[in-house]
Amino acid sequence: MSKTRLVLLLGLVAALVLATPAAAQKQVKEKYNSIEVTRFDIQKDVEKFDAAWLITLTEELVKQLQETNKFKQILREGETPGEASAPTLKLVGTITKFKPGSRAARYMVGFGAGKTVVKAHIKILDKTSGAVLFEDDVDGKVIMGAIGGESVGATRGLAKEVASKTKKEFF
Amino acid sequence: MVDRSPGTAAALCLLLAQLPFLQQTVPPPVPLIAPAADNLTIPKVFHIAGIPGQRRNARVELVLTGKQLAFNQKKTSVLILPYERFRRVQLLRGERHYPEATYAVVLATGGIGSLLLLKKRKVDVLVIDFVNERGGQMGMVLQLPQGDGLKCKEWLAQFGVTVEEPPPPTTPENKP
Repeated sequence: MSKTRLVLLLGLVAALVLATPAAAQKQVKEKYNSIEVTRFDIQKDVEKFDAAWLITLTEELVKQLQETNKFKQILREGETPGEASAPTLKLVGTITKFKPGSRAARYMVGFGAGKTVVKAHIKILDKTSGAVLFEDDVDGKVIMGAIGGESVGATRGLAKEVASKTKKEFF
Repeated sequence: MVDRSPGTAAALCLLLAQLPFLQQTVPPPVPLIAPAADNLTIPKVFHIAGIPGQRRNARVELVLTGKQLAFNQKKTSVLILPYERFRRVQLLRGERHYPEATYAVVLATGGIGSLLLLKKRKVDVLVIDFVNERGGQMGMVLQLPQGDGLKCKEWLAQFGVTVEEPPPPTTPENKP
């Protein structure tokens, strides 16, 4: 086989390899206009992340996804959708790390002391088929803020990152 | 000539009985004294999450009746939640800082005022899992003055709502 033909063949194969995931990604773009937000699980070795933190995180997720202005419906777990046939995403996650931090330490010591950290591994599924469309690690931190900053602000940071990645991936 | 028949006498008696000063005054019925509280009202509750349209740390008034839980703010009802929509209620222990007071003291006294941030107020944290009108799972987190959480628990128990109290952790927690 001549060199020219070999190069053309390799180029064709490369184009096919590169185009396939791009085409798949294009298929999910703008396809979904509803998302269901579920309450995250908590990994076994994570301590102190109790029901109050979990509910606060869930509410922040709903709020931040609403603020993307990309979804027509943001559903709660178990909620009946307004349009039953609409393609719907499902957000699930697991809290993998939690460090409660200290507001007093953040304010009086600074330099990263008393940092609050919440980390999670999220997956976004097609609600109907269960196929995993996207997964990633996200986190939220409070390092400083007014009078040390509220520790619960870490849930807002995590929720903002989830919303940002969701918007980038699906719109 | 005067008619002295019994019928006439009876009629005369009836006529006289109509006169006010001759009527026996019937004592008014004793007014029903309403129970000391038809509902349980808890002021100075801090909203952390779950009430639509309310910011975190907003102050609301919690009113528990026989059927529902209402949230009032500035004499306006912001949310009403029937007990039948509750799925789980938990009472936890938490703490709050004094950020506004700390800031004021820091301005007034300088850096030494920041020590006020070390002082934490113990609060009761009420965590309510409930469903919305469309069957969706929702949650709410409220911080109540210490001791008021137990009052809520006892009140709700009267109406069949069980409030769980998980055992306190062995290490100090930093609640949201």
